[in-house]
Amino acid sequence: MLVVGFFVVALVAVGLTRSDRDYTDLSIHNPDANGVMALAEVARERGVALRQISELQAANIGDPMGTTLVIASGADLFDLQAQSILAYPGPIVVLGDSAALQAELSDSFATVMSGATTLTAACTSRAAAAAGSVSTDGRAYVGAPEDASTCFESEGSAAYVAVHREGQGDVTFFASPESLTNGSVLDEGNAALGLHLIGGHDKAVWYLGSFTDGSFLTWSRAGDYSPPDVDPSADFLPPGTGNAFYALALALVFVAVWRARRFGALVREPLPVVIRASEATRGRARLYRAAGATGRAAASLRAAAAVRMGRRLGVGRSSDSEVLVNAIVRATGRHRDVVASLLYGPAPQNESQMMTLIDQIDALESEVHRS
Amino acid sequence: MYITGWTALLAALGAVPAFLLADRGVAWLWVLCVLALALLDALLAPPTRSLGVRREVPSSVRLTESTASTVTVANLSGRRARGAVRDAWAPSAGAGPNRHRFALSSGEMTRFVTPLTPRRRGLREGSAVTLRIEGPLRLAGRQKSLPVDTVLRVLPEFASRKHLPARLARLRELDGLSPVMMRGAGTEFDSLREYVIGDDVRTIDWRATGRRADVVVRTYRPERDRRVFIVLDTGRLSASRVGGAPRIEASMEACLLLSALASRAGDRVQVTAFDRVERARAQGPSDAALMPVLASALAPVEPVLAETDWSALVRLASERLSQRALVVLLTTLDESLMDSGALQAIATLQRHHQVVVASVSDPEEDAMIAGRGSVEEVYTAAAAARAGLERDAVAARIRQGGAEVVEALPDDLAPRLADIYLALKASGRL
Repeated sequence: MLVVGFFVVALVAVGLTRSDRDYTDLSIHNPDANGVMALAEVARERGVALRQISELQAANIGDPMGTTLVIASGADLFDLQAQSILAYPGPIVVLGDSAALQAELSDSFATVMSGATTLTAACTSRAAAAAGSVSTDGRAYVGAPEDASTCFESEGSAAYVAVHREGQGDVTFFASPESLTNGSVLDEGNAALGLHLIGGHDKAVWYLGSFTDGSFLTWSRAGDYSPPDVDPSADFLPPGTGNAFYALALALVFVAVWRARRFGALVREPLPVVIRASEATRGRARLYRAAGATGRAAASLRAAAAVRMGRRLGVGRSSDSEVLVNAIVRATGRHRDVVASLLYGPAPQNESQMMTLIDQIDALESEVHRS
Repeated sequence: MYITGWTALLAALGAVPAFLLADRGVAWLWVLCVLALALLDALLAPPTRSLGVRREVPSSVRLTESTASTVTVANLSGRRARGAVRDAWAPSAGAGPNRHRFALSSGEMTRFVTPLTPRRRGLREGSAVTLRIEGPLRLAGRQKSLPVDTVLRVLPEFASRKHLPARLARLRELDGLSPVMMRGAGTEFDSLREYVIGDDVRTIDWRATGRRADVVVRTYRPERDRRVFIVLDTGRLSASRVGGAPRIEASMEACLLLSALASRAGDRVQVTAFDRVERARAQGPSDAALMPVLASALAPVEPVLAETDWSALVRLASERLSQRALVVLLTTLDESLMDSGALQAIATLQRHHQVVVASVSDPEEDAMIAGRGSVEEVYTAAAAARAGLERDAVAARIRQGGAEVVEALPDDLAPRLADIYLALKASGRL
């Protein structure tokens, strides 16, 4: 029951915390200044079916000629991925710097920082003409392919490069994706340019990947075989592996129930008291120590030693101290005053005096017992 | 209801179709099917009430000896029943393997034996007997715990009985039954017999000698039919541990040895376990009858965390004892006896009876007194010495009234007490 309850709580928690908002740069679900939700929402209102993917293999485009592929994060692409993107027959829009894609088109095609931040359109491109002027973050392209048309130029670089492909959709580069974010989309003609770039067709796919994505673009023409949706995380294991582990995890609940069910209740054991008889004595010793009761401690040890020696020498407990001292003097040959001061002398003032006294009494006692 | 490992295994097999079909729904479907199968299996299992269960144990066992609990399972239903039974005991009952599997056809009956080696004296209650009956698929079954009232009485070990033969031999010497140079001591006239060399000439009965041609001596023997009243103090001080066990265990050993010895010597022994009220009582005219009764009565006695009510004890003794007796107090010699009324109680008892106070001393205390390793150890030695002096003072106060005091380590108390008893008997002080 507990296990089932835990699962329910976990599911509810995941359900509550999950929403379609995120906070990634250039995400169409990001309403913050670094997102592009504003542009995406306007495009949606204009009838463009826009969806965002984080892995190329999830694109799965069934209608390439009517679908715009937007590469919003091209910087992390591998060469082979770039080739798979350029093999796409529909229109392609590349935002920002993408070394792999640029290198496929021309060796000299590169991204630079130009000083200009507000550029004016001076070309015939429909998108650029509609925008009129744009604000950028200063990035621009140089060395565009020979047959490409450029726009928003300044000092030999261009922020907009369109490569025309015969029988296929154009490949359009725009150097400054920051211009399209929620924070700057209202500047100059940024909004118009953005809408023209992604709204060229009824459908658009917004690729926002990361370096962890190693997959290739998937698309098919109408009538082609379309592979089924597969779990994208298990790309190096057979497709059923994840589900098999899922089934094993479910079986774990059975194992828990099997092991947790007791074969009858635990049996109570009435235990005896475990206090040691010497506990009280040790407590008293700690009290002596805490109080520094050297006098009292020494008196106890002296009295006990006197009783033991008296027993050895045949002096009764009730006898006078004189009798005992005399008996000890006879037995050991020590001076009478020494014996008397050891057993009945002044109380020690500190611990070191006490230790010395005890040592001397022990020595005396051993002499008595030897005699 | 319970499920078996087979159910878990079957559920785990769901990974195969989930792998092949690559679908989570399959995994869920499989698990639900397994669950349904298990429920069905549990439903199909014979009901637990169709089995009869009985547990039998011997009524008592001596500590350190082994016994066994026998569980009988009978299939009263018309169907075959397969499953297991657990014969649960508290840990100190020292139960061996206590889970037994069975497969019984209709009307069949089987017995299982669980070995028991109790580790502590007292009443060891058997816990419930739990039954599991498997369903036909072995995936799940029914489980039920049946409260079966069983009590095993674990008697005191009576390890001190090894001292008994020596004490009995000494007793026979006192009786004059053994051939020894010294004639039997005692004050009670026994018989006349012929003089043998070595007899004390003072015991020659001249009148009898005059009537016969031989010299005749009187023989005496120790008094018989004396009363011995043993009080086992179960107050708070009897709970503290000395060596490995509570004080009361050593006191109990001494009590058992003295009872065995005194009843063999022909005295009438009464035993009471007392703190504020009487916890156990045993009395018997003869040894053969007394010892089992006594062991059985003392078995469940446990220390009580209360101060012993000494005046109530005096009242109890005066109720039980109509004539002079030997009163043995198995208690703890402690400074607290000074102001708990114990000394007055002992003095009162001593007026009419002979009192012996027996106490278990702590072997740890000797080590503590000898400690000189550090300041702390010296303080401990001082505290132990002080406790010893205080105990000596209490013992001296008790002896002043004529009572005997015996203080001994746990293992020595029983023989020492028996020796004191023999000495008192020999000197005719009973």
